[in-house]
Amino acid sequence: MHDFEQLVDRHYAALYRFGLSLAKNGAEAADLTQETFYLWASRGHQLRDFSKVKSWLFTTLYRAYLSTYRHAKKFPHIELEDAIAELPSVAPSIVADLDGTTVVEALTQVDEIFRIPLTLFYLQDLSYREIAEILEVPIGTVMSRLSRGKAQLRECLLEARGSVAGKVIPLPGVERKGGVA
Amino acid sequence: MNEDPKLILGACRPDGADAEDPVFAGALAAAQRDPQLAAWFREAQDFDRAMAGKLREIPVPGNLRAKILAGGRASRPLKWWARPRVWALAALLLGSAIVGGLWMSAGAGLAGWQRHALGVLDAVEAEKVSLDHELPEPEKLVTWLQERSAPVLATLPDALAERRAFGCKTWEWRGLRFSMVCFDLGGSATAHLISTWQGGLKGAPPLGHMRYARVGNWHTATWSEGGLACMLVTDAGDEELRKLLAQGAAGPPPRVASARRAPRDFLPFP
Repeated sequence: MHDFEQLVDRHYAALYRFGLSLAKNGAEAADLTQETFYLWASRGHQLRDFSKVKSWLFTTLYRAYLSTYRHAKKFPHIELEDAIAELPSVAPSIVADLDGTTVVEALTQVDEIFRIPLTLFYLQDLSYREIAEILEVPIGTVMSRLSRGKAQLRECLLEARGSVAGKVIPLPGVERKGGVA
Repeated sequence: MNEDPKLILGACRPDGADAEDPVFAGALAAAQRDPQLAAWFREAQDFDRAMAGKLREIPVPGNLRAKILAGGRASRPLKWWARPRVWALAALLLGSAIVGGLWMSAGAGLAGWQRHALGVLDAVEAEKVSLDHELPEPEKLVTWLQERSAPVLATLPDALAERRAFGCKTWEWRGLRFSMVCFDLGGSATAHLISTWQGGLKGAPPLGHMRYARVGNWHTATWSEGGLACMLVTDAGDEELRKLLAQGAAGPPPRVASARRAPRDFLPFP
């Protein structure tokens, strides 16, 4: 039981936040988190390599989400262009200045196929390799989705920011294509 | 500027956790040679760091941890599932699968709440989750649950009421409250009566229909009654399951009562 508590303490907050990014609903995120730990309690002993427990938990929550929302199948494995997505310029300080709710809302606006790896990335608990295992996609696909996801996120942040033009700080060496925001 | 390093570096966590990953070595080396790439990477890491910080600020419900650990806060872990029995069950299940394909896929034919409830039962079995209250008298457990406004049959089926109980538990899932009363059938066999409110529930059998299913070693009977969905689960076999549901000599089905549930009219599930 003590180990179980330690496991819960270590991971339940990140799992909840991951669930929130999936379900976009706090109550459902809590349910997903609870269900994940119930499943661990009943089936976790089947995991031979305990070092994989973190991936197991995130994978389980992800699958519970897919099951709950009756996705016909997991997101199709779409090979995206490997070219880096053009990133709208959003100074990190603007992110820091925005309140958490606004940032999270912007994140939830990102297409789900990109939002899921992006959230796992920003939770910083999982490497890109582990994210690839959870989503059952190649490493290159994770990298592509992270890139595309960040591009979308920046656009969403700019929209959330509203009249942000004056505060956009062009990055050195990055040409902006098109009129973002 | 070569775009590939950007793609790779974009997957590098800003907290330095990936510093030793050889995949990033080439891209980092490229950044050292290319000032523009280096500037891009610095900005990207700053942005990612800011985003990660915002994600960590998302508040987690204060009662979530308590809910997860609810079972673990009971007075003591149960001792009724001895390890040898767990192994015996495993062997039995494996044998069944090999011999006759008797093993049904987990959860097949069951509604989501039933699969969830069996998961909780398995967690109790594995001693990962404890019971809330431990008593041998079924009626006292029912009273204990009623005092907490938990969903429970006020009058248990006769055959079940005569058995020795050993504990009960309540929990919540997807906004639904559940209760479970556990019975010792002798030997190593047990039975568990799981109940939840009907409201908002999907996948319960219509009134007047008893639905039987088998999931692994568990034999289940599910029925709807007076605003409750009930599932009796046992590992003692299908015949014993039906005996447990017997209500005297052709008596009525189990009656339902609860402090929270006013209407006694039997409504079919939506």
